[in-house]
Order: sequence, then C-alpha cells, then structure tokens
Amino acid sequence: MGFEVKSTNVSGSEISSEITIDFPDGLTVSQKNKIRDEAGELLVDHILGRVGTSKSPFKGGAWPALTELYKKFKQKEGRGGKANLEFTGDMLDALKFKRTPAGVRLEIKGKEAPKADGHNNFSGQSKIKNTRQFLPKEGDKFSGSVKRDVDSVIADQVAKSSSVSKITKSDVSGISTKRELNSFIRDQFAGVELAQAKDAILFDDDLRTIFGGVLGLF
Amino acid sequence: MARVTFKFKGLDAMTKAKIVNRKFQKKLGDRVLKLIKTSIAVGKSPVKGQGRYKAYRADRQAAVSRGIASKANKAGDKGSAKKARAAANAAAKQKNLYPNSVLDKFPRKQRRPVNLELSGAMIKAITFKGLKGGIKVGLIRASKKIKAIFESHNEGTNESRGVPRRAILPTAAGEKFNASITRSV
Repeated sequence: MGFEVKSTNVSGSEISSEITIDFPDGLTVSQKNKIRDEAGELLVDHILGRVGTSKSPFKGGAWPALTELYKKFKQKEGRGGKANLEFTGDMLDALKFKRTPAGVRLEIKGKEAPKADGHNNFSGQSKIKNTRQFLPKEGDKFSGSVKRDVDSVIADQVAKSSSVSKITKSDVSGISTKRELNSFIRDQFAGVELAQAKDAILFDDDLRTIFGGVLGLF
Repeated sequence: MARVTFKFKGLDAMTKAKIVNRKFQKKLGDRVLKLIKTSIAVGKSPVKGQGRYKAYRADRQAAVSRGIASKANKAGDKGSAKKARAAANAAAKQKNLYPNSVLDKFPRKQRRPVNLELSGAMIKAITFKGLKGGIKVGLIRASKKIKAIFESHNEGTNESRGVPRRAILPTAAGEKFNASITRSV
C-alpha cells in the first residue's frame, strides 16, 4: 500500500524519479488526481524540509558536513555553513512534481538538471566527491512520516468513495468493542492502513457523525 | 488582523468522547508551531501553494544577470556571458539591496535560506491559544511594530515597493496550511 519509486531518468535537461501510487479499487479519476496532487506536494515538501536541515530524505540520517574550505566560502557569500544544497536557491526552486498515469514524477528540468544530477548522480558521471542524493531511486525508502501521510491522503479519498459512502448509523450501531470496530473499518476501507482509515473517518464530517456513537472506541 | 484561526475538525465529538482536553490542545499547538517555524527556517512557506520563498532583493537582482549570462553562453557569446556573471556577483553584494543593507547592524544575516529572520522577534511572536472547538495560531500578543512586519511579509503589503509576499500563515480567504502541516496534525 502507498507508493514506491519505479524508475529514474536523467538527461542534459531533466532529472526525474517516477513514483507509482497504489490506488485502491473504486476510486474515480478525480479522486485519483486529488491523491496525485496531494502526494506530490507531500513528497516535494518532505524533500525540501529534509534537505533544508542537511538530512537525507531517505533512510540514512544526516549528510556529511561541508569541507572547511567550502564552508568558509559559503558563509562569506552569505549562504550559511550548512550542507543544505542551497547557494543561489535556483536548483531547489526548480524541484516540482507532475501527475503521471501511474502516480507522480518528481523532476528538475532545464539548466538546473545537470547541477541536480551532480548531487544525485543518476547518470553515474557526477564529479562531486560527497554526493548528497535528494531525489529517490528505485528501492529508496522515504524517512519519517511521509509514508503515513500519503496513506492518509489515499484513505481520505476512499472515505469519499461510493462504497464507503453507503455506510449508515445502523451498520455501526451493533459495534461494541474495539476489535469489532477495527474489523469493520478494515472491511470498509480495503487497501488502506487502519490508522489512516480512522483518521479519514474523523476528518470527514458525515462519517464522523455516523461513527459518533463509537468514537470512544477509536 | 494578523492572526489565523486553525480549527482541528472533529473536536466537538472528540471532546464528548473525552479524547480532547487542554493537554491535547497544548500538544496540538506545540506541534503546529514547530512545523510552521521549521518550514520557515528552511525557506519554505507553511501555506499551501506558496512553495519556497522568493529570494531577497540582492539575489533577485543577481538572478537577472545570471539569466543574461546563461543566454549569452547558449549563444556562444563568452565575452557577454563573463560580463553578466561579474554583474551577477556585484549585484549579489550591492550595499543598498537587502539583506546587504542591514549587514552592519545584523552581520549574521544570511542571503540563503530566505528564512524571514533578522532579530528573530517576529518568528518568536507566532504562538497559539486553545479555544472551544480548536486552537488559534498567530500573533496573539505582539506589538504593533511586529504585526506590521508580519503583515508586510504575510500579506505582501510592500509589494509595490518590491517586497514580494512571503506567506507565513493562511490568512487570505480559502487558504490552508500546506499538505505536510495539515497531514501531520
């Protein structure tokens, strides 16, 4: 469930990562696009947030610090001494996401692409000694809560799907234990993590009203 | 007024179910503030759709020259490209352009990231308050001077003088916090 990095692409004018999203059955085109847009925004946000604090967006912790020589130069130029991939800011400003049929593509296009490849080394030709990868490759796992957040985005759309919208108060009225509640929610939100399904219920006005009598079991 | 009311949906039902209380509101408020301030510190607006903050004036001026250099390079005009790069370097350090203009008083002010921090007073003044049905986030107990600085950034009240809007809180109609903040909450 969720998403994974399927492939990467690099050329003189583009560097990108293709992310496939595991769309549950029964979602409309519009719902899938909402998932794409919010997941794309989350992934870009996560990358920028982690890079800004000199950390890899993927499992692996902090990046190596700048060399003393470059750090002094960077500070002298008024850019701070952190390994945050920001000098003019142009490269990070160019990081965007686009919708694709399978999910989203994270990309940097144009004149910033070679610079980005220098850091990510998708081409295998980077001349930078300490690369600091910030775009995901196949097999990379994002760190932090971004997976949970993307699952939550998917759960929200499932909550609005035609199958879940048929749930009524009487369907829920017989539930008296947490186990029964969890089992019921898992059935209704197939393909969605339980925690995210519960969040989706709490954030949806209609569902929250329907489940009002069992909120204490959440 | 320089504040925004952020309501955590579902609070009424959760209050009845005794899930929400003052402790919960404090935890929520602390979390929201941390996310907002971390976002600003790395040069990213906490408001949906606003992206990274525009460069300070000295760098914006330098970017124009870098663009010229890039075009000249593509056209094979190495001489013009060299001149334009020199102009970019000069612009980035021009004394009358921000933040170079404040370096005498604030020598530690950096050009990147664009973190809206000079003395730190404005960022420090962003706080929260619990209320029935949610929490309120903004400049709740700030001086007029700080509010004016905040509005200048958040509402772009100085855009006519070349200071772009750099949204800090979702105060305009229909605005929301970005997906990371909304989802984390």
